[in-house]
Amino acid sequence: MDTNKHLAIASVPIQEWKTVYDEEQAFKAGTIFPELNKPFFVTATDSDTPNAKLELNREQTMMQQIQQTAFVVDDLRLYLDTHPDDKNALSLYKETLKRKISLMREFALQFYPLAEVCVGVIYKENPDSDCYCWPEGRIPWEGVCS
Amino acid sequence: MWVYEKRLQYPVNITKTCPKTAQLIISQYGGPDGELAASLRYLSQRYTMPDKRVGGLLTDIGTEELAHMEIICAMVYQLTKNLTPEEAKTAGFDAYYIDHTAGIWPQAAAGIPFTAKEFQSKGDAITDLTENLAAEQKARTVYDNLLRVITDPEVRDPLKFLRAREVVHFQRFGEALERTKDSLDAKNFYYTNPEFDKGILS
Repeated sequence: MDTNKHLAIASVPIQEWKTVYDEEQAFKAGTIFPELNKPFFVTATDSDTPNAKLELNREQTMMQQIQQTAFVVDDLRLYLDTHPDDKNALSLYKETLKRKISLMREFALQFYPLAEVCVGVIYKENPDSDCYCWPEGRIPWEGVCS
Repeated sequence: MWVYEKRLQYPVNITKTCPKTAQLIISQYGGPDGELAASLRYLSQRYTMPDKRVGGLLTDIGTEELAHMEIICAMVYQLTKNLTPEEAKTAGFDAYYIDHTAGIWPQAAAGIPFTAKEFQSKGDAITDLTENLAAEQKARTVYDNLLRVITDPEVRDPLKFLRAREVVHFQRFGEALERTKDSLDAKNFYYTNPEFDKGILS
């Protein structure tokens, strides 16, 4: 598939699967792929640790876990869109997606639902619930400092 | 159809009111290379893409751009939510304040309202994918410029995340372009319009 030899058209090499970051590193880098991590030089020198150390409660810790796991799913989804036959990517996608769903389910039962399917999880667990639970929980854009 | 998840893709926790910073960052909401234009660009182009996998990629990236729009809006909101009238007057936010108070409205840093003229949907797969490569680079440059002038780590952290996504999206659009090229005649990619001249793509 050497399409990079043609004149008068843009060419980008197809990425190949290599070792990927763990969830925490990936979230910090904005990609699971070390070879796509290309930070801006001004940012390379500063520490950029936001608001010192935020004290996270259990809910916030679990939310952070969901964000990290879900982000790996997001980045893998785009990779698979252009590499549908990559077995390594697919296997990591399947495993991570399963973990994301189970975390969201747990979050719904302990705190509040993040999606309508999670409202369904609550009703399945408590069929007699008289709670319209969708509006519950934090407003996403408020942040934990409010 | 879309389904909402009640969380940000990346957290925004800004403690210091700074209308000046808000006025710069708002460009990535409604500016020429902002997340709103990005999302509408990809979600508009996808319908006529000849390769359905490329259409799928446009849906997924267009959807992620909506999540990025939400992150930018959350930043503008948190930077202005405790705004005093005095700050509104003196911190370079006065013109915006007159028209929108502290409401969130899509405009460029220079005050130009959001417009669909910021993006194209040209109905030609090669043209549109090439536009998308440029769009990701333009957005990356805006994030570079923002990171150069903004010092607050609470603001820089989500900006760095969003910048990193532009680089990844560029790679994916490049791969989508290669995929589209694979199904065309390499002797002359421009012999037909693969989106309009149906049945040409193998």
